[in-house]
Amino acid sequence: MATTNTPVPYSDRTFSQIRADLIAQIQTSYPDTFQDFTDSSVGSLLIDINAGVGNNLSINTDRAFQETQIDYAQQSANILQIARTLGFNIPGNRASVTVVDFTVQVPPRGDRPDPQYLPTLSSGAQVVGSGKIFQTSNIIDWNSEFSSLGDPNRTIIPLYDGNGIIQAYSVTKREVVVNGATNVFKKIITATESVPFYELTLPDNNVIQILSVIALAGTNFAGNPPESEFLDPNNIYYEVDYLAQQTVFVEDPNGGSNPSTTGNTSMKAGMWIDVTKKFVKEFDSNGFCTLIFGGGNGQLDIFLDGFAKAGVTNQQFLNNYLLNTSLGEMIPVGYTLFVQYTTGGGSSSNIGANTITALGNVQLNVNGSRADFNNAVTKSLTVNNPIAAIGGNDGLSIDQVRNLVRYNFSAQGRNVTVNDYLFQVFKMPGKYGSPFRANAFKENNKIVISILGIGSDGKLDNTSNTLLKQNIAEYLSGYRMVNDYVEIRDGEIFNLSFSIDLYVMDSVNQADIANNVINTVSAYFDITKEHMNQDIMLGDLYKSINEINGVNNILNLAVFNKIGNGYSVNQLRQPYVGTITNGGYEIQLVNNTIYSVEDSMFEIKYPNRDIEVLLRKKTDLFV
Amino acid sequence: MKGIYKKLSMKSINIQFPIKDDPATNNLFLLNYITKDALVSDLQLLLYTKKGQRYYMPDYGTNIEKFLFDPETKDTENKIIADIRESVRTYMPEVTINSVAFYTNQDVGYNDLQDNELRISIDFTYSSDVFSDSGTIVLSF
Repeated sequence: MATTNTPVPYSDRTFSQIRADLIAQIQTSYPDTFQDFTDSSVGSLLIDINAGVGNNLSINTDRAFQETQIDYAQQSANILQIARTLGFNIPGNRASVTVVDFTVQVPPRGDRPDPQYLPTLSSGAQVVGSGKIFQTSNIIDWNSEFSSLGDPNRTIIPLYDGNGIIQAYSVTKREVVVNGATNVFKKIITATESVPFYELTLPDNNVIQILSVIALAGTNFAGNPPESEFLDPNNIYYEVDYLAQQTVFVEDPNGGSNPSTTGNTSMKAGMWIDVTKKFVKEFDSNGFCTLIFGGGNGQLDIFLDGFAKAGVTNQQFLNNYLLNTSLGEMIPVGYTLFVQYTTGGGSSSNIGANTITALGNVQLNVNGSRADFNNAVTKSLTVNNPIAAIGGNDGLSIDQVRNLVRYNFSAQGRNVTVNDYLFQVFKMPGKYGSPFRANAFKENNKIVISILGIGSDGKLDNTSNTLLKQNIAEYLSGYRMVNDYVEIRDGEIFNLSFSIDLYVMDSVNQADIANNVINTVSAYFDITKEHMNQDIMLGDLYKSINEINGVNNILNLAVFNKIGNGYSVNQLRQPYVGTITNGGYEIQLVNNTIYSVEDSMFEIKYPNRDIEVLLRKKTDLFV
Repeated sequence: MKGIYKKLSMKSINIQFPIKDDPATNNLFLLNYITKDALVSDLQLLLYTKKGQRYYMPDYGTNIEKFLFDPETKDTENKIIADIRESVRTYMPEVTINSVAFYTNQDVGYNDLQDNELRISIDFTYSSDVFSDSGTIVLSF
């Protein structure tokens, strides 16, 4: 019989807490009925069971809540689900990348290779090494000295016979190849598949990239459609980050990709287009890739044809309302879906240098006048990767997803901070061009994207082509804030020269010392390691020079700003010392530093003549 | 004479084991009112419980069932006795096991047991303050 009413503490959660509460409750409410609370009593057994059930419920409640929080979730499926909910498009395996030298031997014509026998290699050419397939993504044209991105990538070496006569030229194109093999998955669309938000899971669990998704009318396709069908905009379902995304950045066929705008590169013009045929890609926790298509019916979308003109009925209006294409289109019945995708990647695709030496499926086109020469050129194709394939990994780890979701969610796919703009510039697909260096900063309340290219001589170039700037502007327009004014302009190049006065040892070869100094200073200003808006602190340079064998001391180090006459016309902001000397203006060093500006980068353009080294022995010094 | 006889009312100690309904009072469980009965219930619960069976108390109980298919030897008996003593010492220190007897063919009254049946008779004493008593329980497996 209950004698008193004691409040039950509902906040207790653990076994021991609940057990103690129940015992206290019984002791208070039923003191005459139950007094034996030893472990061996039946009452204790029942109390323990109750406390245990309460404890398990608490744990499961905690666990269920924990799995809804990105910071604490443990199960990969839940983390991926949260990430997708927050708009983070989770990538799968990443493919390794390397460069491969594609070499052919071409018959000579005078002092150069006969241009009619310079071949082209169709895109998607496969090269193989260590059991891994790598593919090119662009046409390789031996007639062009540039890559598709505008980088100089052709070398020509004459091949002599025993009499010193040129027999052929070895012409090498150094091109980027990406790990992965292309596959095509076919699916006939019946009424079962023509449903809103149809999900199609690809049979491979190592999908790297979806190259193209097309739907063709008909269901009796014997083989895969030709490449042209995969590129036809009328067939394509576009990949988007989320189905509500209305526009995608694609190649503009009328974008004026001509030599005057591209600077003789095969760069494409890009543009944003509205799309309703679209899909999103998701990876599950087992690595399988699922494509999710839209929910609308494009054939019923009367809004597209003019709502008022159509004079719709109530039923049509309802259909239109329910099946509009703002979230994409269903694939119609009676069509066949072809998904072209690459598989491979992963950390195992990182293979060593000089291992990619075999050819896979390649289509080399030689169109010279003599068939035997054409055959000889075709048979001469060899490949080799001079550097290791790097960058392949097995997708993001759970902790990487956890952290990237936060950044992705805060950015929301928009450019809010200045660094977001810079981030987006480098996200632009490569075929629309890519600056060698870029920096973003605010100037007079506008966002300035400053870019620098690299010329065929390997020197910095600030006369970038018009199309690249247009493409960057067009691409950023899809992300910029509505009230941000964005200017794309060429950056500044500050050419430097050095005069270094050294006290050196008699015992060490003077020419070696001078060469080592020139090499050290050149390496210090290596443009492949420098960034825009990077100040040059000379302390480390002093240290490096002092460590050169034979150098006793640095007597003087003067830095000059070279302007004009083959050098950049950009003038350093730092004050000069006196008038023009040594072909340039001596820079007045402040804090032993050469200060950059936001849109600039330093370069020693001609190291062999821009680095002057004066060597003095002990006998030369006035002591 | 009214008020001369007073109904004796005792406080219950714990719940009987094995658990049974109490039809007389319509209570859910029959209760124990005498210390010895309470200890017998506790002892039976302890010795019939397999280790690992009790929520959040994995060492509570005995491993007697594990020995059922072991050879019928003195060694097995000694292991069972040790198991019982250790368990009682840990969870019911007020009880002392005096002796343990095993019956595999006939019980203490010479009644035949079923095949593979084991009965264990345990003599025990207990003390509580100045009171002490002894008793016997028989476990059947």
